[in-house]
Amino acid sequence: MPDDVRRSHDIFVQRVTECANVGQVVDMAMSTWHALNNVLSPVIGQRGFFELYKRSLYVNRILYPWLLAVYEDAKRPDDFTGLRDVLLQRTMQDATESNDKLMQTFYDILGKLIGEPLAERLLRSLWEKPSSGHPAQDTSS
Amino acid sequence: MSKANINRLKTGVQGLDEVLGGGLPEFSFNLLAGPPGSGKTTLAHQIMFALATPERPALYFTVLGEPPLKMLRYQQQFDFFDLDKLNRSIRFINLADDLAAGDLSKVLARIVGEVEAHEPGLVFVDSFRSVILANQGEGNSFISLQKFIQELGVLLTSWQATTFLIGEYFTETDPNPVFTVSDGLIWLRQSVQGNSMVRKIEIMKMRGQASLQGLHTFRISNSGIQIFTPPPLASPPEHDDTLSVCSRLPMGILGLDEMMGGGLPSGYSLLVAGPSGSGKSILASAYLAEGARNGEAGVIAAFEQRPSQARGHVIAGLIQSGRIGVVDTRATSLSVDEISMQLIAEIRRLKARRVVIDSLSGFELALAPTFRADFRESLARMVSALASTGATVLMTSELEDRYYDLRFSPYGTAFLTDAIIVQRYIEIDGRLQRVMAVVKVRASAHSNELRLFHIGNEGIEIGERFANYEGLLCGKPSLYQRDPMTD
Repeated sequence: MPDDVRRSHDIFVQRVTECANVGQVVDMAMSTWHALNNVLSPVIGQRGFFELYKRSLYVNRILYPWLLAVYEDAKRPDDFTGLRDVLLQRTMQDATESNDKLMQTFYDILGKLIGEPLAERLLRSLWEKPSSGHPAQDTSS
Repeated sequence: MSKANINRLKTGVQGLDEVLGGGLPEFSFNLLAGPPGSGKTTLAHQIMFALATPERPALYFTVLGEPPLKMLRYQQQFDFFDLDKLNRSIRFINLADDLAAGDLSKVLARIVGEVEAHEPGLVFVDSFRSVILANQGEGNSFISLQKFIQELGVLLTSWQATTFLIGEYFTETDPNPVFTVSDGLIWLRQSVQGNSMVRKIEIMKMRGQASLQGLHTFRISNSGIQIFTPPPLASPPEHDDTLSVCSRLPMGILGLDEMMGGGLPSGYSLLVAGPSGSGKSILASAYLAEGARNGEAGVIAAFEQRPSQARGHVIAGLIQSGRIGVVDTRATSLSVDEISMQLIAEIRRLKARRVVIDSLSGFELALAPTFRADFRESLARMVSALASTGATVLMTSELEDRYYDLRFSPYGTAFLTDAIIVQRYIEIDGRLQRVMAVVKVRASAHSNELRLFHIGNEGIEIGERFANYEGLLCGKPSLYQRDPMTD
């Protein structure tokens, strides 16, 4: 995984650890997937993005069997409701771990296809945008 | 009031600006066409990466055809693919989804939106064939292809964008509306003969300027596309001649300069013709080594043996030290224009005074079959172009030993050159001996003697004139019978 992508991913994981429940984890996952789609589809096409997403689901279906149903039901490129519905039914740890691995696989495939530097450049705008996550909490007092 | 001034952009593709007639007209609307694999996308990318800047950004619209993921993967292999320009000067935008319904008005609206958003100075649509097919296939378009092209042309011209539509399978004879609207038609072709494949480019139309007519060969390497333009015809010498026009270059073989009337006149082309093993390459090596001794750089294009091989340690050392430049002749399917360009580039780089082409026979064999028919014409152009650099050229030519006619070159190249030396085998006293004669040195007196020569450790040693013999070149030597009455 490219360094910048890894950093961004680490930030995502860090934010997830601050989530109070599985609903917040899934919201964050959905917002990241939509952002990825918005950045990549104009360049590689919706179809290109969709196939990478499906391939990532397929690769992880053994380790996280609940992703198989998402893979089989995925029909529309910009629709992540299948993933959302499945993750909402998992424990917070399962949801976090499986989505984390899914994204890692997605980044890896993208990096292998177009090269890590180009993947990093395309995704840079994603983490250059102001954070849409939860504001940092002041815990000093 | 001054006339409209067309700014010509430097495309960054070696040879393309010359072929286009001085560069790419800014704000022109161009079609780049050719069969699959002919290099259309590579040419478009190379031009885009050379021209795109933050002030003149580029939009590269990908339509159906090559998936963008693959295009990005493979195009990165070229040196010109500069990651730093992505999303700063260059934006890739996929239109496949907009085209899926076959509605060209939707595609046009998307292009208008992106053009308004990014104000590009350069626009590429790859591949445009997909747009045409989508229009033909569904038949549910709200605007016709002709209207689409016209509106696109007007839009991009008024936004002052230099545009390329990239497509394949166009037939030149089809009354395709894009032909009328476009300012430039650039055609890439592939000519296959036997196992040889040659890529060629043709500028079929370029409004506002005179492009170089005809087909021009090009190669695709890691650095991108390189087009080989015909070498420019004779013009005054480029680099300052410290020697006058009448000066002569020593040949590096004792006695040969005297035979030539004082050496080889500077700027001349010399043909050394002879059968296999007669010593042509050794003479050529001596010529280069003599130049190096006098501080003159040389360039060699060797087609029959490796330049540093079998030419002795002196030439090998001069090549190693960079005083003799070597033109790479190992590529397959060469053209005379390609070798000419390489030779001229090396001559300019080293400011070389001496050039050797060894041999014309090997040169012809190294050419792609498609160029062999025009070898003589191309060679004439090359010799003229080399002469225009001010260099003095020595070419060797394999000559079949025939004793029933006196020939100097199998290509009729003798007339192209200013001077000719011929080497022959003769049989005397049961020995195979070598003789040499200067046949021609234009506008100069020269020896007419047939001289015996040997090849020893020190190279060629010229001996005495063959006195008292006649008929040596006819294969029937006989002792000349003096007429006692005339003595």
